[in-house]
Amino acid sequence: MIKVGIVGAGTMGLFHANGYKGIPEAEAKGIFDVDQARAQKFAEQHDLRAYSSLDEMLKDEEIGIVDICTPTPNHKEAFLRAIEAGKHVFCEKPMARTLEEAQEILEACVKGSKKYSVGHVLRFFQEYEKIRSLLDAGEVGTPYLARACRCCHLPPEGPAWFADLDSSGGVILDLIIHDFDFLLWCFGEVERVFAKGLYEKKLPGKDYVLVTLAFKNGMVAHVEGSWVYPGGFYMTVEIVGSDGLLRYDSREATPLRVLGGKQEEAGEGVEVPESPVKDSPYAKELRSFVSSCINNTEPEVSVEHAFESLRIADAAYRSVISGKPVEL
Amino acid sequence: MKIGILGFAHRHARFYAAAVQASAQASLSGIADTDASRGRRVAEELSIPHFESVDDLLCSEAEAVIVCGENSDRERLCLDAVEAGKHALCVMPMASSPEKAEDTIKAFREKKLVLAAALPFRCSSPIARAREILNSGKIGDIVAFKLVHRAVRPLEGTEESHVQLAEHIVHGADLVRWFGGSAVKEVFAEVGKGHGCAIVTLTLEDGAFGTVDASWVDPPRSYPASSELTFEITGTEGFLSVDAFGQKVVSYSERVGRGQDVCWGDDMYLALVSDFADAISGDRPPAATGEDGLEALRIAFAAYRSAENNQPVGL
Repeated sequence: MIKVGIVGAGTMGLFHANGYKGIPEAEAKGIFDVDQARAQKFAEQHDLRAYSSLDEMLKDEEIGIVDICTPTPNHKEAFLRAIEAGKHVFCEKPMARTLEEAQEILEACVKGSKKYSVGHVLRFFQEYEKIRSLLDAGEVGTPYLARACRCCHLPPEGPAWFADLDSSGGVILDLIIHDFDFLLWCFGEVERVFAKGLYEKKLPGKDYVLVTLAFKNGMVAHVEGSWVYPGGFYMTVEIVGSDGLLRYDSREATPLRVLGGKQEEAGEGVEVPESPVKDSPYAKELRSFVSSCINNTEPEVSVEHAFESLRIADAAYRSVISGKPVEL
Repeated sequence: MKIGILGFAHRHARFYAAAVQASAQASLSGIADTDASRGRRVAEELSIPHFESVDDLLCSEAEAVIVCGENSDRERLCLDAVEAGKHALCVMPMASSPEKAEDTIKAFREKKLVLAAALPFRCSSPIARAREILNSGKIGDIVAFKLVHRAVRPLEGTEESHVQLAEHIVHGADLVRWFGGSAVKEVFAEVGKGHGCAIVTLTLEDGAFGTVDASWVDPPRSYPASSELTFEITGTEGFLSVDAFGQKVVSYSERVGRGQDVCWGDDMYLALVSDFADAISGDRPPAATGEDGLEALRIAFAAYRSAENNQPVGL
């Protein structure tokens, strides 16, 4: 049994705490949050110990895995301290706020029995797994074009650090870094990045970007990210190849819809779509990481993978700001 | 838990073979077919052990069997299984008449063995979640429902038309029963001539009504799906719709020559087989019992009588 300390009692901390409940080999033991009252409440709800400082958690010898779910700008410090304390580390995506910070983490990672991974959870979504396996089976022949999008409307009641583009990084770093990771996983290295977006305007909670990627294998990919789409969250993937085309649109692959209803949260005419699966992608990614810690194997998503997707994100920012393509 | 497959007439037998192999709770001991040459061929193709006769499989250490034989063989295969002390999961329809199904149920009950009806939609994640939402009261009580279930003919060769009809209707009828919370009172069915089209209107004891479209025996070759099941429910407080095969990627591959829906959702056959194994080891009823299979069969046979006389039939 490997014990986990969660850092950050926000939304992702909650997802992860629930994720560990389905993993027999692991158990969430404690929580730390800079907001002590919030940590206390979280601890009570999930039957955890609330640590009064990150140090106290890191000094707890029972803690084998430190799981970082803090706001993005705090990833680096927590990651570095957890490495130094000799823990396995799982960190929510993005790996760090900037490429320089990620570089520091990469250099601090100890080669050996300690495992490090980042929450690029898209790889564990059943639809994305299926697309990857269809590609591997040659369903489209040689792929030459990919399109992906990830759009939503940022809820106004969300945390302030998130709406602040300087701290969250906006849609490039928070949203479509998922798609960058998926595309890199499928198609290998990127040569050039060109992007247009609203990032520089620094509109609180509003961002939109269109990114074009040129891959070393000759493929071209297009990625859209939006925090200003009023119709609810959706994601799409399209892959075109020499012998076929694959298309996935979450709006057309949502099997369950409820309209109206008694409860307050779904007002008249508001549609609540659902895509139920037995095993949540968050539980799957954590189970995979726990298994690599226990069996001393490479995590499915390595810090190097996470660094690469951040490198694409960084290039996209530089392109948005300069108006020029960025060669990698 | 070792599970064998009896009969390979039903095209879903392959799904069940794959499901047993994928299940964490079970392993596939082998197959035996009433047609030994077909059994050998399939066993070789799927690289699974083959028993030369049904008796050989029933004398083996398999703890349970999945009955996938021809319609006319199922009740006998089930009775052979219970005689040999095996639990059984039987594809639908489980018998050639409701009366025969009652005999099967009685035999399993007397030997305290599990008899499960293969009604896999109860184990579909979207369907099960839809029922959970309905039961939470969110959309109130059911006023009306509309279910469309279209599938390729599950058996090769020619079967009597009412048996074909029963093959299709049982799944929709079972979901109506499972969601409805009230028994089916009346059945009316229009059956197209020669093409296996059927629209069945069901009225429940509490007054709720709806239709089950159990048509489309042979989908056009250019159509992207081989199976469809959608269920829409109008409630007193809201509306719910669920598509059992809605979690999909669409693939247009030159290798196939047409668009195809590729489902990525949870495998309901795997879930059904796992539930069957859990029911045996946990000594609890399976997701769908023999009695559930019987009730669905009663509705299907009532539909057949209705179509013959062009009149509603009471249950």
